[in-house]
Amino acid sequence: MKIFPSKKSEKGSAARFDALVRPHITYLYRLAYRFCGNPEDAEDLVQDLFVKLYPRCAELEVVEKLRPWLVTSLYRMFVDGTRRQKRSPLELIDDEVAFYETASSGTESPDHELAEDQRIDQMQAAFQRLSEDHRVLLTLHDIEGYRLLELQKMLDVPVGTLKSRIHRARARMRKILEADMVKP
Amino acid sequence: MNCAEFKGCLNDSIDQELGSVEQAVFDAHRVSCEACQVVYATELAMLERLRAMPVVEPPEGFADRVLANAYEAEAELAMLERLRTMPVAEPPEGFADRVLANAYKAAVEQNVPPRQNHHRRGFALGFGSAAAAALAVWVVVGMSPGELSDTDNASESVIASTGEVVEQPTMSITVNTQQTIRLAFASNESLQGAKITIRLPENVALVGYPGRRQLSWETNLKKGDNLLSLPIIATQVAQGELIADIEYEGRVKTLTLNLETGAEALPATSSVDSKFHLLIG
Repeated sequence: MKIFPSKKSEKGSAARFDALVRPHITYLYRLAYRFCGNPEDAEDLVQDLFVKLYPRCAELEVVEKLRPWLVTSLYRMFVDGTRRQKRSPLELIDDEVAFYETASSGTESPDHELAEDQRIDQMQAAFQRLSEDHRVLLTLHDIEGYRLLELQKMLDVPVGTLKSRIHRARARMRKILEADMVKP
Repeated sequence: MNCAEFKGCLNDSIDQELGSVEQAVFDAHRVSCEACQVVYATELAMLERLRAMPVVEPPEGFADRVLANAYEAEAELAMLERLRTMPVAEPPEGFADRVLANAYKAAVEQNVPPRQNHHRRGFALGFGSAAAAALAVWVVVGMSPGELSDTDNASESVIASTGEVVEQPTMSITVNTQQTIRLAFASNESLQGAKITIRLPENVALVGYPGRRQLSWETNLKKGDNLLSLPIIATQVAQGELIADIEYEGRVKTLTLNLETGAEALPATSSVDSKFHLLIG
C-alpha cells in the first residue's frame, strides 16, 4: 500500500520520489543491517536517509546510477553517525595496535558444533565482531561486489588505501574464525 | 615466488587485480606448494561463506513506513517554515499609551505604590539630583459619576512623559458642571514640608474658594500615592490651563493641564471625575 501526502502539490513530488527510490529500499536495508549489525539501527539509518533525501527529489532524478549514489549516501550517513559517538573507525585501521584492539572487542560466539546452520551462525557472529569499517568494506566489496574503482568514488578513499583495508578486514575475519574453531 | 610472496599476492589474486604475468607466477607456485594451496583454499572458502550469509529482509511494510515518515517529516518542516514567516501583526495606534495608562490606573486604584528604582536609592534623597529625578505623568479622564471607570462612553486620554517639564495633557470639561480633578502625587520617599501651588484659569473656580486664582499650602507627602481632590466648576466656555507646582527643598515639579470648557450641558447632579497623577521619583 502506498501512502502519499494529502496535498495535491505534495502528492506529485512524493509519487516521483516513490517511483525513484522504492526499488532500492530493501537493498539499502540489507546494507544498513550489515553496517549496523542490528535491525533497529538499520531501520533508523534507512529512515534517516530518506527523510534527508526526500527534499532533494529533483537532484535524485538526474543521477545516472541511483543505486551506488544511494549506497554512498547511506554509507556517509552511517559514518557520520558513528563519528558522533566516537572518532572515525576508518582512521583506526592505520593504527596496527588499535586494529587488533578493536578486532578483539565484541561478544564471544556461542560454542556450537559445526553443523551447516551453526557454521552460518558462526560466520554471522564473526562478522558482527568486526569493527564497523571492516563490516562496511567487506559488505560493499566482498559481499555486494563493488569494484575498487567504484568504491574509491563512493567512499572517497584512494584505491591503495581501500585495498590494504580490505585485506586487513579479511585477515581479521580469518583470525576470529580460527580462534573460534580452536575453542574447546 | 616463495610462500611469503604468495601470501602477499593472495588477496590481489582473489580480486583479479594481478597482471597476467604475476598471475601466472602465482598460479605456478600454488600448484607446486601444498601449504599455499591450503592457504588459498581457506581464503576462498571464507569469502564464499561471507557471500553466502543469509540475506536479511526488512520487516513487512518497511518501505511504506519509511517513505510515509519521510513525507511527514518534510511536511512538518514546511509547516514550521510557514509559521516562522507569517506576517507580524502591528498593534493599533496609541496601544502602548493605553496599556500603560490602564496598568497605572489599576495600580493607583489599588493604592499600589510605584515600583522602587533601586538603582537610584542611596543617592537620591527626596527629589534627589537632577540626574536621579524622574517624573512620569498620567492623566486619566473617566466619565462616570463619583469614580473612575472604564465604560463605553469613557474617553481616555493618556499622556506619559519623563523629564523635568512634562507635556501638557488636555482635559475637556463642561461649563456650569461641577467636576472633580484628583491629583495623585506619588513619591518614592516621604517628603516633609512640600509646598503645593494650584493655579487656575480665569474661567475655572475651585468650589468653596470663589474668586481665587491661586492656592498654596504646605503639606507632608507620604511615600506612595497622595491624593488631592479639587472640585472645580467652569463658569465660561473657554480654554485655559490648570498648573500644579510641587516644591521641595528648592526644586520644583510642574504640571500643566489644558482645560477645554465646552458648552454641552449636563444634569446638575452629575459630575465628571478626573485623575491627574504626578509622580515624583
